[in-house]
Amino acid sequence: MTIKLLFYVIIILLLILVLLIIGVCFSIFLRHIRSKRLLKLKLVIYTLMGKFFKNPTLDISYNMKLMLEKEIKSKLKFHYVIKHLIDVHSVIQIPVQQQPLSIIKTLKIDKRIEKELKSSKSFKLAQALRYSYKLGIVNHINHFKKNVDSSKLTVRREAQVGLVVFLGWDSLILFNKVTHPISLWQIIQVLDVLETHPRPSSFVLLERILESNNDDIVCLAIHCATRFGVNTIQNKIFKHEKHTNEKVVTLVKAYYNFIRTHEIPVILPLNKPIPLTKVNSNGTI
Amino acid sequence: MKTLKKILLINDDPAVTTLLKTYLLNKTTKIILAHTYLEVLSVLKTNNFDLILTDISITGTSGFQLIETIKNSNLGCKIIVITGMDQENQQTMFKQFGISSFLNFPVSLNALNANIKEVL
Repeated sequence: MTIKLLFYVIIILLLILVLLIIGVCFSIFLRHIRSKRLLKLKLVIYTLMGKFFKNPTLDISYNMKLMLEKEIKSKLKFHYVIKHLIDVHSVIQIPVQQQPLSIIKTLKIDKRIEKELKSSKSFKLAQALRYSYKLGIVNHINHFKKNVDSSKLTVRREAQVGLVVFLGWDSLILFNKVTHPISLWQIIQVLDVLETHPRPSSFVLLERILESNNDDIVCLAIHCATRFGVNTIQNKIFKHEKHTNEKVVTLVKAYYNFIRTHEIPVILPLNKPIPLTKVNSNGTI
Repeated sequence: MKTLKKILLINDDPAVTTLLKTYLLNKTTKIILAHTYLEVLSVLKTNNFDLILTDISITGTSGFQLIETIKNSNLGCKIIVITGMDQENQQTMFKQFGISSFLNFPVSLNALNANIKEVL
């Protein structure tokens, strides 16, 4: 009796093992099929972008449009398509004005992103903001202005970077609205984006945010003046020499050292990096 | 009648080569793609190229070996390196290998066009 029972147990265990192996093989097979499909979709997107770069006024072919519309109905593939539309930036330099907006509008990607911009979930909203500025959907600018001082860190971070992407140096004035803290990392991001924009003829907006009640915004302004060698507002910066916040005082000192040790032209050139010249300790250039 | 120019695009990522192929393809060019060192070896055996656009390193080899292989099998062809590695000392070394020009990802289309026009 016990031997028979043992035999049955072994048979059942073997059956389970076989089912398990079949399950694993099937899932590997499905995974392989899925990754092949995703690669095909990726190649379609890159082909589309290649055609767009060749001729920005060219419409998407009917078949390709149908195929992509069908694919992006799935949430997963919608994000996958956007990810690759953004990833193209790592292959080809695309200025904000030359984004593939015709493709985005034809596939109604902008409408779907706009829906997510109204989401109450902060991660969805932050993601939608990021998508909007990465894809250059300038029509969504009001959502950025609205969220520049959001209580949610991720949301205001994306909104601030997006504003700088779209408006360049003019966006600085909107930082006066910010009451929440700004991290050093965020300041660096903002400055990196500012660097891609043409230099303004005057730095009045930088001067204005120097008067902000938010110490982090004052820090942003001083960091900005130091990085871009702005010497036209030095008096305003030196006024913060005795600021109550130690961080601001340290930055003013760093700015002072920078100004002292660099030869900066009086008239700042537009659209070109400032030709800063390092001044040596003995006074020679 | 214009002669057909043969271009070889070498990059690990098929998406990158597809994009560049779609962008560069016209009536006067024939473009061939290679994604691994083995593929490079096989296309170099059977074709002569006017221009090779390549990344520094691809699956199966390091940068210098790849460039050396290309140079040895296609003596007259021009080579443009497009890479994500932005290192000046490497650029100088590659210049010594006879690279026509050196571009960085993300590449500017104007720069790419200008470089191709210059060598073709």
